[in-house]
Amino acid sequence: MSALTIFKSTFVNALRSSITANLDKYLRDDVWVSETSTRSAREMQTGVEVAEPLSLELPVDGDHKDTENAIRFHKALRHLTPLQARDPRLWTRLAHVELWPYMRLRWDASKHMANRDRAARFVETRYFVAQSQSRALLRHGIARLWWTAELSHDPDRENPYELTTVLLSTLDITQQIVERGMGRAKNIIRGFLAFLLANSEMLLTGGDKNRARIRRLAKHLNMYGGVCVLDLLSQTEITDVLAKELDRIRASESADDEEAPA
Amino acid sequence: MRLSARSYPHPVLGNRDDVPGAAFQAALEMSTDKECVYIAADVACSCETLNALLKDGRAAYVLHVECSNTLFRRAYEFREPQHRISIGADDLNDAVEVNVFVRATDRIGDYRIPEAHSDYAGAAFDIQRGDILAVGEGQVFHIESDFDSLSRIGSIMQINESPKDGDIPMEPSFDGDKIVIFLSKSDFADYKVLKLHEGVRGPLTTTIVLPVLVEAIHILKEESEGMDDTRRWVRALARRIESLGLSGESQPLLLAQKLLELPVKRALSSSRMLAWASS
Repeated sequence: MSALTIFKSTFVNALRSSITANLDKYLRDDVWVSETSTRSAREMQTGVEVAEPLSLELPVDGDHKDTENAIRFHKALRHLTPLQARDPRLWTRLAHVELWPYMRLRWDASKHMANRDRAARFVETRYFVAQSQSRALLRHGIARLWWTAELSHDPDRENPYELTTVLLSTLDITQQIVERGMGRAKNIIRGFLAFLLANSEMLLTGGDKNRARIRRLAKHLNMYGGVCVLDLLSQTEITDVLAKELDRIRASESADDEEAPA
Repeated sequence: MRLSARSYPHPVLGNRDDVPGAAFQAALEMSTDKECVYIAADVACSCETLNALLKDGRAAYVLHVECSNTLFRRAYEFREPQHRISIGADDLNDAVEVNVFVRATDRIGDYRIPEAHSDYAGAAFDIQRGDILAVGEGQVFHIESDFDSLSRIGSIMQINESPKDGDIPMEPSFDGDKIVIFLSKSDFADYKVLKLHEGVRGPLTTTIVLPVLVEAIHILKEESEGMDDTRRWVRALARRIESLGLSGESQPLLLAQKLLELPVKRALSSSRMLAWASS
């Protein structure tokens, strides 16, 4: 067991305010952040213990390994409290030191360097927790892995991370459910993902039609949450609401198909 | 859950003029200790229809708590008008939004409110379990769990070394939760040594903090009233000004000096002592 090291807030502020000056360093493969200051000015140890050094699978050939990494990372830091898990000092440190090789491949700044302002914004969003709102955590390269697993983790399932696999199967699902406020309520996100899983042939096999269905389901649930306190419904009640809407969606698709000229 | 006035498919007490003949109010209070955050609700409902449903158990009060900073969102159902909940201090941080509702706990097939707007006269509604029947005015609380609130004005500011080289002027950044003042590398080295000496702390405050605080007050006055700003320093500064009864002071320079408790006087006093000691 070893204690997790984080950056000091003064160092995080200095690093963040130097993104433009350091932009070319975000293209380097080696960990360069130690060149910018002394260890005592940069680092502090926490009381958070980790069983083994943190590492993530590196993306290969277009496979981002998001699901594998979210599960692996969440298991390694399962005991973080929400207050600890929203701390920019932790995520900035991991993105720049321990998990730098992963960040270089998964969130490669070189793709944006044609426009340096855009590249700087990309670095700020993916390597730093730019604001105190949840969206910043869900966009940070490492924090998003922990938080998506945390929100979809269901200890009552035989595989507690089964819904995490559904959530991260496409980026669209994450945006539709997690970035909306309702995705923070565990019964709602679990009910939504369980419904997608139970209807995977109609919803999770890819294609524009399925993506449009997921978007319409998320939109309907969000609108229904405007008149009903979804947080106090059971998962079964959530899936019932979605089942009725999916029937309506499929009926409207059939009507559209019939109306379409041959 | 951000609640705005909206059009519900049925009359909702507390929403616009849906039910002008009755009122629904929830007084909310928040307190904290090291372990927990406590939220107490005291609800008053003057609608006889809803009170009857609450009494019969076909409706219930709901306290809805949401914190964007820690992605916390939970609803607590209760039956008595006074209710208090506790939430772990590790679950909440910064802005916490609290709303109070009445929701149907059962399907109500023939829902009518005599006190409703005349547009609803004679209409009956099919209410589903979970549907909102009343809304109170929401409130946002701010929890500064890892932040020294304004016992000293310096706690909203942080002095850092600038990443830029050379003799450059100090440069404040107002974008984050704290105001960060960047000093050139050589100035920061001097500052680190000098701040340890009691005799020069006053002049240092005047030289570094006073002008930045004046600029911060300008920003506070220009951008908003402060309490709803997402940056902690803005909210903390607005609270400090209010708590000291200085809201009426319109000149930023005078206001900053009052907040810092006459820094020029203290700087001159300590400089005089230093001058006498060295002569």
